[in-house]
Amino acid sequence: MARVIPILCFVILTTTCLPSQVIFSGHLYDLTGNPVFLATVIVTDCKDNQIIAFANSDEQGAYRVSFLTDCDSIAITVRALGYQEQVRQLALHRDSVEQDFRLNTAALPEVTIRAQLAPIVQHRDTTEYNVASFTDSTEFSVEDILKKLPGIRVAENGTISFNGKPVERVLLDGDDLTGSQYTIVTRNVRADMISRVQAIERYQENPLLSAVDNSDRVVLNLKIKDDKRRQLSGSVTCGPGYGQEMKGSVHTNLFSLTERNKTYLIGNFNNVGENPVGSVANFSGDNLIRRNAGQNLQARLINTRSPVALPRLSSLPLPDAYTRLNRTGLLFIGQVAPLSSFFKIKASGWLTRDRLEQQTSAETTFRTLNTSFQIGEDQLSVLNPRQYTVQLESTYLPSNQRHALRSFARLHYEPGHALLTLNRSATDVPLLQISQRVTASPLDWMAAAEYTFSRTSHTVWQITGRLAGYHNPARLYAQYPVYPSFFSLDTSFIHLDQPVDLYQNRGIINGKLWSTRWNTRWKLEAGLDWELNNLEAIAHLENGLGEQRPTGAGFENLIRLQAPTFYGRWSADRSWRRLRMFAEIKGFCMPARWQTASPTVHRTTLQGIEPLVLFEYDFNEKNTISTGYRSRMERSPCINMH
Amino acid sequence: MVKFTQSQYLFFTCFSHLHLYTNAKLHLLTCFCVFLYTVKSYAQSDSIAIGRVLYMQEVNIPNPEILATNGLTTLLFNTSCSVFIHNGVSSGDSLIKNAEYLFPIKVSGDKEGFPIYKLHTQRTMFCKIDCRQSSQDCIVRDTFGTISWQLQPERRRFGPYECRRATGEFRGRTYEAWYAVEIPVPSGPYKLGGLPGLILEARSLDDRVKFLFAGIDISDKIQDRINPPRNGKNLNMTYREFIEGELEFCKNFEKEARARGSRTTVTLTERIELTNE
Repeated sequence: MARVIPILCFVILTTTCLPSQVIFSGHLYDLTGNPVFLATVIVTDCKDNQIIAFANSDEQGAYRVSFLTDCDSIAITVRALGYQEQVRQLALHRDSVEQDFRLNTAALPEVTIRAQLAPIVQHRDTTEYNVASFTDSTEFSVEDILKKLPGIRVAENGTISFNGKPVERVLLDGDDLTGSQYTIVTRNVRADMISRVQAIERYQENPLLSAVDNSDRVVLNLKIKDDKRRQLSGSVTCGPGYGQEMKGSVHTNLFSLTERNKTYLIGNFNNVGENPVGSVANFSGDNLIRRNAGQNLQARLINTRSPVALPRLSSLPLPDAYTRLNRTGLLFIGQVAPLSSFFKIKASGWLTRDRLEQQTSAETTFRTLNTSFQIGEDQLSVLNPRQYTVQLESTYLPSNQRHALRSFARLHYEPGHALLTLNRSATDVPLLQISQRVTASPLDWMAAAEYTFSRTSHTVWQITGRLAGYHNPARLYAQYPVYPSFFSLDTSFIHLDQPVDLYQNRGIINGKLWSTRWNTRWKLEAGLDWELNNLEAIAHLENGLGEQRPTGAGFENLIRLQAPTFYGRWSADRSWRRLRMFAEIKGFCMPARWQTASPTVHRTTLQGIEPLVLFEYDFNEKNTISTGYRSRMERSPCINMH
Repeated sequence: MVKFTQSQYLFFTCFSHLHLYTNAKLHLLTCFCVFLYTVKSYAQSDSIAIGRVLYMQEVNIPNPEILATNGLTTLLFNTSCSVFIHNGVSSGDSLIKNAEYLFPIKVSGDKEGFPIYKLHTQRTMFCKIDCRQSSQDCIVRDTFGTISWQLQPERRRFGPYECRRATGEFRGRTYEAWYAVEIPVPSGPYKLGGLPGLILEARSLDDRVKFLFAGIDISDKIQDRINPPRNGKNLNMTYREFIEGELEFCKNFEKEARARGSRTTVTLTERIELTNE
């Protein structure tokens, strides 16, 4: 008996203190008696509301949950989307409990939460800015956002740089529709359309070259907000006002972004001093002369600088809106149409019309002890530049990424005329009147096509053909009372008439081979680059009766130049951690022919070899030291006529 | 009265006529019916989502293909199914330079975003994966909701939702998940799920894999569809069979390369899942 009692006590104590297995089961129905499917049944204990078991109901609404607990009661909670939550406190008297629930329907609670994403995310060569982290809703255009992003600078004319490197393009959702004239996008797309801005370094348009060609190009990509990707979204903003005259501004963004096509319409009409286009065009980022710019199919072949340029308005230390009157209009239409999964066409066009007027007055007084001398100048400048551009780009890239065919064509017409009048008065001096009228109608076009074949992942072939033309008939008509004495003519010959006709044509056909072997990138290139330039400029003086006198041979220009260049280039590029070595040898032969006003045709042949060796050491992202040797042949001034 | 779904009705009808056929035809018919049922269950009706969770995926694994999927991801869900999509994946293949490799690496892209489609009741998921066995991306069947979660007492708030913590081991990594019991959907980012609430954030305890909460929308007005993966080769394999197939492919590749005189060793790069159990 003495032995039995401790054993009995032990058995009683253990059985009462051990947690017991409980099984809950039952059915879940809605108010109409239909089973509720995939509802969650949660059992929480009596201590700290901790979940001790859970289960889901099946298609018949049946559930079964088993758990171990030493509590006398538990809470059972039933939840299902579209139904009201039910909670029951149940005492545990048995090991098995049957509990059915009838759930009331409830409207789905509408919830929208956005977490604070990291403001800047670095992913390989892409720096992504979360726009919401940097804006405060005072921004109107994308340019206003870019000015607030660290690492990005926007100049007065709209030029953008990222970490000191010039940005070449601004893409809209991965598509480039404006080329180097990206201010059309940055100054006119509304800030509230954009969710993220990506700065992409080492940008390569042709995916077949991304592994073999070391690009140093930088582009920005604007990601449009998801809720703006609809059949039609956008905004129209307009506002009237009154200043020296009636003022108005109309601004529109209309986007149609579907899975298949993307259409963009941007418009800006104002006379409140806004410049919707800026003056980014022709900046060096688009120039074919830059290293690695050869892969940019849109790169300009011709430096378009006219001998007779439209005069610029004075730049005073005040914003342009305070110093000039304007009537500006911009209309841009862009369309991205993927015709299939591997063929895409992008078409865009824009026209701008501007009328700028500026009036300046200056008066200077010189005082001596007894007298004073005044000089006054009044100048009126009126500019009417216009711009019409159409460009078309197509890309064929099959899914196997072994071939790529890209083409690009652009037509750009930029007529304009300017009128400048200056009245200069001085004490005891007759009034001097000077006027100048300039007209220019430059038309430039270009077409390029490129076929790339990737034989293996580290060997790529490419054939490229490019053609460009530029024609600019311009005229300067000026009136200046000093002309007669300058040209030794009668005093009535005060009008100068100088027509200029510049015609340039350039074409390139080349083949390239890239290869990556022995940790080195090799490149071989050979091709033909030809130029055809023609400049005619004459000047004569007129009197008011229509009589003309020539100004002399010194003021007449006639140059015709033909310069085909046969060239070959070999280069090697290798990096050891922070050190980079680049070596290049270029050989060329240029049989040039040119002719001036005389009938004699001059011929010369330039040929030579130009080596280049370059060493670069990167201390960090911002600091690089480089040294090298380059030999370049001197070209005659005539070859460098532009 | 027992209500049959359409697929079950087809199976029942076929079976009622089985006695009229020979053994060979019986086998063929059974396969056909099973195939139809499988197709039907796989091609679950394209459902409308009632909610959307955004995650920021940060996976720190030396695998360029996995790294290319980092970024914003979306989970569309309703009561019966859900799909996890990698938004940051490019639509086409691309070549990338990598300092660790001599040659450039091809990284696959996918217009659908390499979706992981989950059927909650069938505890099945269909994952689209870039694979070597096929020229197309592969669609692999996997089981869902088999993680043995330990429910922890810690709580944390995500917006209006008080989330609870759970830990569980999944294919070689131990994960910590924060789930909201107020959203009774047993799904979550990537292949995680099986908790009594929707997982709003998850990370592996070795900090290599993270799915960080970036936002949630729940509304009747969401019109997004929960689509199973489409453009890919349905291998009709489990994940384990798929990994074994990949290893087999690599071994054969090695043998062929060695037969051509090239000393080649092929190893599969690390994935999010370290094992295939």
